[in-house]
Amino acid sequence: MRLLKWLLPTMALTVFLGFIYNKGEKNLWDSKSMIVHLNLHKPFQKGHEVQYKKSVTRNAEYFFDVNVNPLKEVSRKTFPVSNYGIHSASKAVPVPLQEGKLVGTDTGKLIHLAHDNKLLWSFQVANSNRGIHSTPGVDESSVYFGGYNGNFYRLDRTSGELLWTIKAGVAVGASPLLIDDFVIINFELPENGFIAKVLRDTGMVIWSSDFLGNQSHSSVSYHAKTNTLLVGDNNGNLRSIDYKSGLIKWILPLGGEVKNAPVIFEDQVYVNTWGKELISVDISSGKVTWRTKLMAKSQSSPVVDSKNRLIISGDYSGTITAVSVDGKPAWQKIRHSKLKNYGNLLLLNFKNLSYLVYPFENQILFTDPMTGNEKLSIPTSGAITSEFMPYLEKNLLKMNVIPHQGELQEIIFRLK
Amino acid sequence: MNKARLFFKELQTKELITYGLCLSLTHVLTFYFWFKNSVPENILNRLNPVCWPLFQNCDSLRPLISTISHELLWIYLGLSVTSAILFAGTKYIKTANYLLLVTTLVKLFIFAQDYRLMGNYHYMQFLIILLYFFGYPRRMNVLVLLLICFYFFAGLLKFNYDWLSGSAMIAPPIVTGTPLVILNFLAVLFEVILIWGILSKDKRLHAFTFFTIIIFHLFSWHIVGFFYPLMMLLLIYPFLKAPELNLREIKLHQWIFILVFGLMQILPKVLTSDSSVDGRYRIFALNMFDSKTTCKNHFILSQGNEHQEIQYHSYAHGVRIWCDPIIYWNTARNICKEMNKNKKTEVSLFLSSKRNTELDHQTLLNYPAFCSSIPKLTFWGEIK
Repeated sequence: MRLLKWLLPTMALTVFLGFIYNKGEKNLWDSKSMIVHLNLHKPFQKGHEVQYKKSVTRNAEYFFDVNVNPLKEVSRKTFPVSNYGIHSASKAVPVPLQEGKLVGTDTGKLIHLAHDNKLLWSFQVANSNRGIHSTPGVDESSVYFGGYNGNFYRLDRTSGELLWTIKAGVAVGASPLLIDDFVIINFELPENGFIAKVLRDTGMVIWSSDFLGNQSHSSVSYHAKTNTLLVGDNNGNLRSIDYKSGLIKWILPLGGEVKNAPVIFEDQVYVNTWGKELISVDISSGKVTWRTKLMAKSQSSPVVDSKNRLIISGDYSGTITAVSVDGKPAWQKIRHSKLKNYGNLLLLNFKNLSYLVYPFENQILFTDPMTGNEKLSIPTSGAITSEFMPYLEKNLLKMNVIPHQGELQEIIFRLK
Repeated sequence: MNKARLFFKELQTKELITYGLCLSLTHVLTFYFWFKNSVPENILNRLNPVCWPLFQNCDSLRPLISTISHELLWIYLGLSVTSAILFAGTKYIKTANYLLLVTTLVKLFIFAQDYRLMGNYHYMQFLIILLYFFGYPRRMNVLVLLLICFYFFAGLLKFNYDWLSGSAMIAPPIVTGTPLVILNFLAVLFEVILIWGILSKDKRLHAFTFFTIIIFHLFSWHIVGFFYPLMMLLLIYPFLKAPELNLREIKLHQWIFILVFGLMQILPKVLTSDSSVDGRYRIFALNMFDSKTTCKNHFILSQGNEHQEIQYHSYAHGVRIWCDPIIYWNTARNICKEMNKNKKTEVSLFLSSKRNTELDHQTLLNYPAFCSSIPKLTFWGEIK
């Protein structure tokens, strides 16, 4: 009895405490908890920034201030850098730099090659069986990129040494966005994702956005006039996020996953969706201004032809659709490819000639942006699932590509 | 009769002979545990050891150990079985005791070879055997007290959100949710308070306490595996004699032993903000499943202009040590040693960790140039 007198109140207290303490564990993915590791401190130097789709508006429109003859391939160099990835989704674009090129590979190695093919440095990311999909952003001093292992890295541009890393997600498929002193990163979590604004210098996190609700592959774009970031997600939403605070300005359901980077031109943002649409949205109000049907799903971003004021989209079928910036149909080049055409479009503007360039099946097509008519076709050893960053070197135009299950190739065109 | 003879004579009393048998069986059990877990293949034969802070040059012995690990384990079994048989026969008790001592030293030798062999069960077994041999006079008294202290301090360690909420469980128990939390509270109450009932002269309370201990260990079997409960069931034999304990008979040196043991348990709590996460000062203390940790790590291996991030799969180790900085310190040191044979290598080591129930990680290790200046691993398991 004495024992019971003592035990019963104790048990009652225990049961009470048991109810209070019954809470779950806190998983890393329950939060936007970011583990920042500052390895070496080297101040970053702004300037000569190279980033995915040329600029913060992701408007892959290149202008070269030269007159040229019609482009003609003159040679092709192959480099021992391969792409054997387990999936064919859009991959990192080889980035041309003054001192050579940066290539993110499917083995998870970021390789910096000199023009003479000499290895300047390499950085192998861990747990990299899905490689590097994020196209590196580069400034004077540093290289910024995400791994498909969920980590984001800043490396020293000269030596390849790790300066800082952020461990926050399960994948970083999107490309970074460099603005001012910051880098904007899109982290993917299991069935979720979020955007973070990070100080380039130390990796310090300034803010992280609300959860996006589903995985987010879309690279972030920036509209300077309204200080707005724009990003799509796999829920089929387009989001507008305040660049300063990270707060959501508006969320617009578009009816199909947005895998690509939204493209900004003037005060509109343009996205292609898996709902087979090209959609134009007013950035300030978040209202749809027009929609155009595409022949198939689209994984790639549209491109803006600012001279002709056209928005041009590609889709899985290989069909190219051009619409004027106010939504009126311009032209359409219908194709019925059985392969998924992932590759992004770009616009090459010389003084006297313009080309709309895009990969189609195992070739790269150079077409007339006014009509869609083919001007030149370049065969490749496999489908190109990334895009190209063209650059001029003397009288030559060069483009680096890695075909799916192929080797890095530098394609060289004579301009005159 | 001189003291030496009395020292040995006490070991020939019926209860200590029985306990000697139990202790020999703990070695047989250890052999089975190590054998079942392929300790030679998984740990001792590997040329990259994880050294204890107290024996940081264990790698010097590793080439030898790796060639004789199986033999060593079989010798260990042979000695422990022989000593158990001799204790059971009761005729050659002195020899049995010598064999038990040698067996323990063999185990200590194997145990010292790698930090990954650590475990509470070994820690408690070593302390008990130490007292069994050197706790003279009236060893049973101090053995009972030490065993109570094991439970008491283990209970104190578990008095935290992680353990009580059930999130520190290493395997899913059959009971979940609120009933599990209630059971956890009961376990802590039992270990901290009710355990003292083992000393009661009241037969019913003594029996109740003893059977609760048995039930507690048997219940834990499906969570922690066979080794821990069986080890404890063999070690707690003195509890049967606990009502006969007379605290006044415990000598000063025995009290000092208990006091030092207690201090070792308190030290991590006093000297670190969270020893469950950083592991500091725990080397001489009980290491319960008081919290489960999650960690992020990387090693950046640089050779010239080629850099490689290595994600170390910490979860390959036991739950107590998978985020332990000692493991990472050793791994980085091994990489430095291994790679220097070829060309200039540098390793950047980073480790951050958190309790499973917390959100924020804390950085435990951050050494951008580990090989150039290897940080010191202190006696207490602290990395400076």
